[in-house]
Amino acid sequence: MTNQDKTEEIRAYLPWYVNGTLDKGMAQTIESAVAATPALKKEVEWLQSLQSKIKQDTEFADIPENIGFEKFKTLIDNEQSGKVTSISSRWQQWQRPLMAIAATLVVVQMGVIGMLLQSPQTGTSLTTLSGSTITINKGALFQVTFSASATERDIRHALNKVQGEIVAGPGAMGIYTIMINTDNPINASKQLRSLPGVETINQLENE
Amino acid sequence: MALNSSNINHENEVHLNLLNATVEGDEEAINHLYSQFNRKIYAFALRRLSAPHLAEEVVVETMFEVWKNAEKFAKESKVSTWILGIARHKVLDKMRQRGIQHTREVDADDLELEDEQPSAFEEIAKKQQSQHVADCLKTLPDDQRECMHLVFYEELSLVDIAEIQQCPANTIKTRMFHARKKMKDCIEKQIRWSQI
Repeated sequence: MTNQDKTEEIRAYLPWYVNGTLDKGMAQTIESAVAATPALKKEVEWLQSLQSKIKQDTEFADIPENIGFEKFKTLIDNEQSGKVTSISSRWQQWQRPLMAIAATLVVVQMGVIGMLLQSPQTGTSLTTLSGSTITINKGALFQVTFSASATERDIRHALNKVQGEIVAGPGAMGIYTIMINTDNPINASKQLRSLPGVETINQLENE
Repeated sequence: MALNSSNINHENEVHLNLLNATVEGDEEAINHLYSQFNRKIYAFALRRLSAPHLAEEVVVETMFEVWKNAEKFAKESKVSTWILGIARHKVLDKMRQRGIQHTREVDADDLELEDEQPSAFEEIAKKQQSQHVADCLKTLPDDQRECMHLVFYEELSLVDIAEIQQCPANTIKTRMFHARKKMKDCIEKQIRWSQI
């Protein structure tokens, strides 16, 4: 490694030297290099000044306390009240026998569906005991993330191309679960991967 | 300038305890987490979205997600890194929903800062004003601006930033190299204009 390369390597770490997050060993290495090289020393001084200006920016320095807190509490209250009303109050007492009957029906219904599902075929339609119809799609499930630059149009385009549909997400980390109607998940995965905006793909085991 | 790692570990321990208490249904714990993180998330979102009402929405939605998914925190990163990672996805969702264009990085062939004369940095350090810095930050591509924010405003480590921006540490170093070069050029121009 030439001196020039070493200097460039040191320079790459200067921002973290200035913000104080380098480990002790690395910080000492940088400190020695900075002390021995006037150009690095001046650059460090500039970065320190830059940091202080960024922190002084009033738009970011004077942010009010607990911004959005009331809206946050309302969201939580709404979520909790939804949960509480379903499990609380005296309704529960006289609803219990009805719930037991309903639960028994559901168990029977699931049993029937379970038997029918043992060898599912594409587009098989089943009628449940309640009279509603469900269609079992033969599809592959993928967890997909899109790049930061992907637009809603890119996502729609990707879904159209592979004839997929979003069945869950995006989750907290931006993960979409997509069902693709296909007999060949490997090809579908390749096709998905080639589309603009698609960043990562993981195929899920269908339940 | 070495990092005081015991402080950071202690801080993360406090956040972790608050997160665990949130899972147990302790209302005070999530309120406390909110007060610890709302301004960080707001500043982070504002830097990218430049719209206070959207930044506020990001704060609320991020903390709601934290409350709902507290038990899913895998402890593979610091709590603050996890929360800012969620905030980043919320910001990207907002940009998509509103058709806000993502400004892309263009790879430059030359990674070296052109003028390495110590006097050049010295002069900028002396003459640069907060307004110059604020204006020039706005001209950076999104990922570079976000990176500058995470380094200098949030004072995060290289590893934490790589995790939040979901790319290798070397990409972050390169990103900062480009960002610094652009900032230096831009601030120099601003200083020159202000002297005319």
